[in-house]
Amino acid sequence: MSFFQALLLTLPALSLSQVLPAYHWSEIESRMSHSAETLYVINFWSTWCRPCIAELPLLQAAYEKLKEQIPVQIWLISLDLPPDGAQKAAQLLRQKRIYLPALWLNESDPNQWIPHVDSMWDGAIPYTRAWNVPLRHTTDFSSVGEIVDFVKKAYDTLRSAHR
Amino acid sequence: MIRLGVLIGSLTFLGVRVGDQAPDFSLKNIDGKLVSLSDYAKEKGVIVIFTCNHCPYAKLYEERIIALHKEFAPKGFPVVAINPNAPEIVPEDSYENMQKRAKEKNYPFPYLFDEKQEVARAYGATKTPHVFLLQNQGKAFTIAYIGAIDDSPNDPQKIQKRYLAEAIEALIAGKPVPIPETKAIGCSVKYRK
Repeated sequence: MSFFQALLLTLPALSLSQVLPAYHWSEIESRMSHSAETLYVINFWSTWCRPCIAELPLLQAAYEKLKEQIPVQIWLISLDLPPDGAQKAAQLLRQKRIYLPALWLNESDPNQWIPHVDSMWDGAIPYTRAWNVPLRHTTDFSSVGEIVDFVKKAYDTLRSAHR
Repeated sequence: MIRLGVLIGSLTFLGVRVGDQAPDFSLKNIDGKLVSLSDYAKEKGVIVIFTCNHCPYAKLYEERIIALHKEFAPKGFPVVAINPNAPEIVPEDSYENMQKRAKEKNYPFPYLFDEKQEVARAYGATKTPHVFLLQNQGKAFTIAYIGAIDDSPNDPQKIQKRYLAEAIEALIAGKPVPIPETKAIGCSVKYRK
């Protein structure tokens, strides 16, 4: 089984685990670049970020609304601090009943990985971006509808780019 | 955070950039006295750090900020810490709690309360901690560096690049700042909406 297949199989159940799996940014990026049909939306969050926690249920609800219409994956990328950040993040997701694929970012120097995510992003969270589409949201979403619109707009942009 | 909405392409720019004149401020310190940028007219520069009590990243840097002040205040670059958060959003960042924290940690620098959040908005502070290094040009201060303190927020033992310290040392040596802007993770500034 390839690394990508393994990742694809494990991701949907990740947030049910005790500890979020640790990934380097390059691993996440290559996974997202693998499929041209799927729209990847990545949300950077942390258990110490209150607005991030507040928008988690909105992201989950938006995904439930969208999953039948659009081939979208919404990934939660935790920026919690070591040594126990990956546990804390998994615990919070379980408590809040958030089942979106979730992982823990195994990086230390923001100047090494942030420019690869988005050179315009200064590192404040929450931060959400659609992959392969120049669409970002640099603050918290205030409603499910706002996220649905964001994803639909991203998907339209992605499709028109492939046409 | 300020509502920017959904943005395509480039981000709407808010606040200052490297090279800009530093916005003036006059804010209440934990001892009740006002501290202004103009009070620092005799210094070579000022290390302005937006920080707060509650944020885990800010806590990780408390000791390092004290050490920076002790290292660079004698060389003409003292620290001025500013809490930009609205206490009704984060009670831990109230003025009274700022006083407590400053006393516990024995802060050797002013810890100012940006009650109206006007200074944070003028600088474009988006998170805590968020550093703005100011250089005294004689008649005004300009922005020489924006971003992170170093490259290892989690673990001070693993620092390889002291971005802020290197910027200050460049200014002292009369050289251009090697990396004038860096990315930093932090807790978003709790702006009133």
